[in-house]
Amino acid sequence: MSTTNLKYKYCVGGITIGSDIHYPELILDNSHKDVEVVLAYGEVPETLDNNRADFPIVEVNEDNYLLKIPRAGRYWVNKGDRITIQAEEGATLEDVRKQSLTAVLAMLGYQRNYIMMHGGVVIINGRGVLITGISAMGKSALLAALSQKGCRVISDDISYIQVIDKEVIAFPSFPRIMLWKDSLRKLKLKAEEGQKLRADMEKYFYPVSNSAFQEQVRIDTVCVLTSSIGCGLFKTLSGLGKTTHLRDNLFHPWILGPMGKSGYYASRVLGMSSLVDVMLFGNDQTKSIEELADLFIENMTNA
Amino acid sequence: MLNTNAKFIWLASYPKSGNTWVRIFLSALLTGKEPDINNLATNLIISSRQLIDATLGFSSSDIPEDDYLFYRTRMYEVYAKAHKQEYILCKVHDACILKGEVLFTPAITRGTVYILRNPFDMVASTANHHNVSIEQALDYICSPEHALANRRTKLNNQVSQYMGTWSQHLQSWENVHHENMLLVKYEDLVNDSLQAFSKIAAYINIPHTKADVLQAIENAAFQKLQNQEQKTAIKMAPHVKKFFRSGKVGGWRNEITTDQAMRIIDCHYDALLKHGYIDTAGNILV
Repeated sequence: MSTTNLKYKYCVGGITIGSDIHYPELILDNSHKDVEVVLAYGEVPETLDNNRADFPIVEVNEDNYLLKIPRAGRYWVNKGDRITIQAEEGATLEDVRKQSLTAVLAMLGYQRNYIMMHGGVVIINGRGVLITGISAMGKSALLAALSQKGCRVISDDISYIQVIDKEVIAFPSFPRIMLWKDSLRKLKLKAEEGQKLRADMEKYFYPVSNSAFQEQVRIDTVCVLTSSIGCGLFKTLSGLGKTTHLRDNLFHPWILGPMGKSGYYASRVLGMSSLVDVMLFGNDQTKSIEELADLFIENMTNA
Repeated sequence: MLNTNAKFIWLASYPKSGNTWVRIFLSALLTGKEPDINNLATNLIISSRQLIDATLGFSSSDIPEDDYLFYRTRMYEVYAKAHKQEYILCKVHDACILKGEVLFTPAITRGTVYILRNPFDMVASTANHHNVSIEQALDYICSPEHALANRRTKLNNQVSQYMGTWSQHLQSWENVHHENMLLVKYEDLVNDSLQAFSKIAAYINIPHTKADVLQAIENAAFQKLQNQEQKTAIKMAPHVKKFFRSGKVGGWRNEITTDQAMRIIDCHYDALLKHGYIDTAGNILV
């Protein structure tokens, strides 16, 4: 496929993606940069040759990632330069398209050797902070609360990281935060201003400011949300603890073995951990999200 | 007899039946130490979203639960295969059967310890745990639809767990695992701790002496757990004011009304009779 005739050119995580598919969630790339990745509807294999993973809906090998989402479609990420989507019969194309905005884009990042972290990046008084942690720890809700308080959010759920000249750099993904309906209500946000990830789920892509969205940001602090310490408390980590928490919070770390990249990312994370502060931030959801956001800003401002 | 071809030993129960207490005891027995209630050696729960995601290979929160439900047995198999230990102790609140499918098949099951508590005491504990009235707690344990973490408008750190009524839950486990299941009554754990806990240790095949079991019972004593809870919140239930309540058997007489007790009998007559919690005339024996 020629990349010059593609209708849209997007920038996600510093990667230029060309497509005929309209993604209102993504930032258009107005630069003269060539298309690096083509994203298109097309034929997707039902299985991968040489699948190295043992997951029910995911197959992986060195160059390929195949995701089979029931009642949506199959998604194939190939050699870091192509994403192909085949909708399942009867699936709504809008749902099929939006499902490509999560793990599929993260796998593209892995294939292009980004450090893909599970979480989002926010800028607090000029300071880039990566907020990570396991699912259901409240990362997205905290990011949304910080955004409401005027902090700029440049990614949520998946964060594209590179170490460049001894600095940890985050590349913006797209200006949406994924929030569940209850979180929208707690944040006093209107569900109708977001878009459902799928028509049959109460999980929404909620828009955040997209001003200066393509600027990359230096990260000096990684904050791991956890229920292992008191709500609203911070604990600074050192040594191996830093590396372990970073490694554990890579996006879908179980993919790296089948990709043949465990060793590669162990070393990348080790390098990253020497360049950032890593701290735990307690959240067992006994404090309100506003309170947590205030404590977070206060700590990041004074640290 | 344990199925030594498999690894999972399910610590199964309806909620508020003593599951945490048994896991604390096992943690104490396995480590020989007084357990930290927030960091047990037996903390694994099968509904953990982390476990589901790592075995599904994908964020379960990005697709509807029904779309991966029927992969769950295979996912547990994958999990067991990836772990090197001889056996995996795992807490379960789900019913064993969901929508006609056996979730925890005998093929992946080394053994099952089913902890059974009389619903008269349990319902008061349930009301406290969920901060609801006794009537609402009764609705839960008499509802064929009862489930935990089932709210579809928020993300929970556990996937939903379908349980059904108290007696349906029990029957689902009995039906599937009757050939290889140790049923332990909470009341025996309280009234005859040494024998009841020793049975669990023997069934799981944990090497132990009588002194080991006595020490582990001592380390898992309610008073000690309550003291710990006063100093530190329970991570698995941060919103519950008092996780470890009295733990007494028969406390229901001061907490629920006769009508409420009758409603329990109406809902669960056969199972109550079978397990000696009532007599044929409907008199409560606990």
